[in-house]
Amino acid sequence: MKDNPVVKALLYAVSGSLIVFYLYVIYLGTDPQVSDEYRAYYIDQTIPEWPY
Amino acid sequence: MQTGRNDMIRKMNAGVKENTRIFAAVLILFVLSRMLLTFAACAYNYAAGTYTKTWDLLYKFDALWYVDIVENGYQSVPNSVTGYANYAFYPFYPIVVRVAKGLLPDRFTTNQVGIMVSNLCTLIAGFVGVKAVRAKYSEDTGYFMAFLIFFAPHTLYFSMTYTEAMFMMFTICFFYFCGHRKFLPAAIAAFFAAFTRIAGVFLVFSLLLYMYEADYGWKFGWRNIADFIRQIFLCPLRLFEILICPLGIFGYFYYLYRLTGDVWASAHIQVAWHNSYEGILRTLFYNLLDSGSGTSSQYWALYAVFGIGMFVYLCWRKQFAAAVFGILAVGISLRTDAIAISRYIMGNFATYIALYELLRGRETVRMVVMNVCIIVSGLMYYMWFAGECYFIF
Repeated sequence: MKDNPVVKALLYAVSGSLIVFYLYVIYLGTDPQVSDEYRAYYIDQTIPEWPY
Repeated sequence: MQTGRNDMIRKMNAGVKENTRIFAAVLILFVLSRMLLTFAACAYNYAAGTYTKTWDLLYKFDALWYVDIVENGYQSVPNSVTGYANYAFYPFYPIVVRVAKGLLPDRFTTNQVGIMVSNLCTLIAGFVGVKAVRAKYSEDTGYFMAFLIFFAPHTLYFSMTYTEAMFMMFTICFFYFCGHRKFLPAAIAAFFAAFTRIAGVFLVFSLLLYMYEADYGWKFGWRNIADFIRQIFLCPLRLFEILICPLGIFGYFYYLYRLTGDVWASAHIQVAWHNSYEGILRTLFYNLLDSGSGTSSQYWALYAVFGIGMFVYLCWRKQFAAAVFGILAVGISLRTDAIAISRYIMGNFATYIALYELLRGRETVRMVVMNVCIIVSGLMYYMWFAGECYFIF
């Protein structure tokens, strides 16, 4: 079955979609849409405590 | 034609009979391990003068987080006082518990359903563990593997609302299928493992090593490596098998982006729990010699050394796929801190492969280890119930 050209094409298409999805998620990870407090405490770690 | 079909039926019947026999033996071991748990609960209640039910005694620490996720879903902002958030915990186990809770009568609490799911996963893990050993060593019964999964120290997590049992089950399935060179079901098991705990994503490297071994043995050379990479792209099934492994985790990352605006929220939230030592050696050094947590840190650091020793031993036995998984999965935690590392090491199937290999053919040592496991596990159950023993967990 894995030598069937239709199955092969389908597997390439799914694999390609997965790669695009992973790259998209990584791209989203480069630009977090968060508050200044969140960025300072969790990401940059420039403040010692969560500002409540 | 008729003879061929009869042979096939006879083989199938023999297979079913063998599996039933293995399952029955594994079930007996499993019941014995849960009797030890219940005995420890009785002993605790007797000593404390209480009548707390066993499932309530098991309901501590992270179990509360999982129950919260099952009942209320993920929170979009961290707790305003502590800075903690439940999205630090990965989603597949809560999803399964939620589905199981929907199927069961209302009288069961979320914690009870979580315990049922974990115990079922442990039982399956024990069964597949025995099958994996028998596939490799046909002369072995393999029951010692099930014994380790049910009785080894720190396996108490397999009996409560924690992800450890489910993660162990998927990891064992991964290694079992890889042992049979069935890479598609192995990749699916890796997908679920990574959806259950982040460490599961490292199974993709083990999968690559198993695939490489299937093609070239352990003969490393630039030509072989280049040819192997080329084959991945020429064979779409192989490409798909590799790419499917991290899908669960990336799906969760995308969900977190939609929920919180931060793809890496589950990693960033760890800051609220503890600071990072930023390096495995620094973690070991400070926990062994200079930590404010005293004996607990030293215990964790020594356990980490034991775990690393087991993975190095796997390398020596040329079990590179298991060794790489163990080193990466434990290493990612050790990079920040040694806290709870004993749980991660004993929740990693690579450790069990190493222990089995190490004790195989050493009957006397094995007997000593089995006795120590029962005593220490019973003690750990008791200490867990008493709730004053954060230091080893």
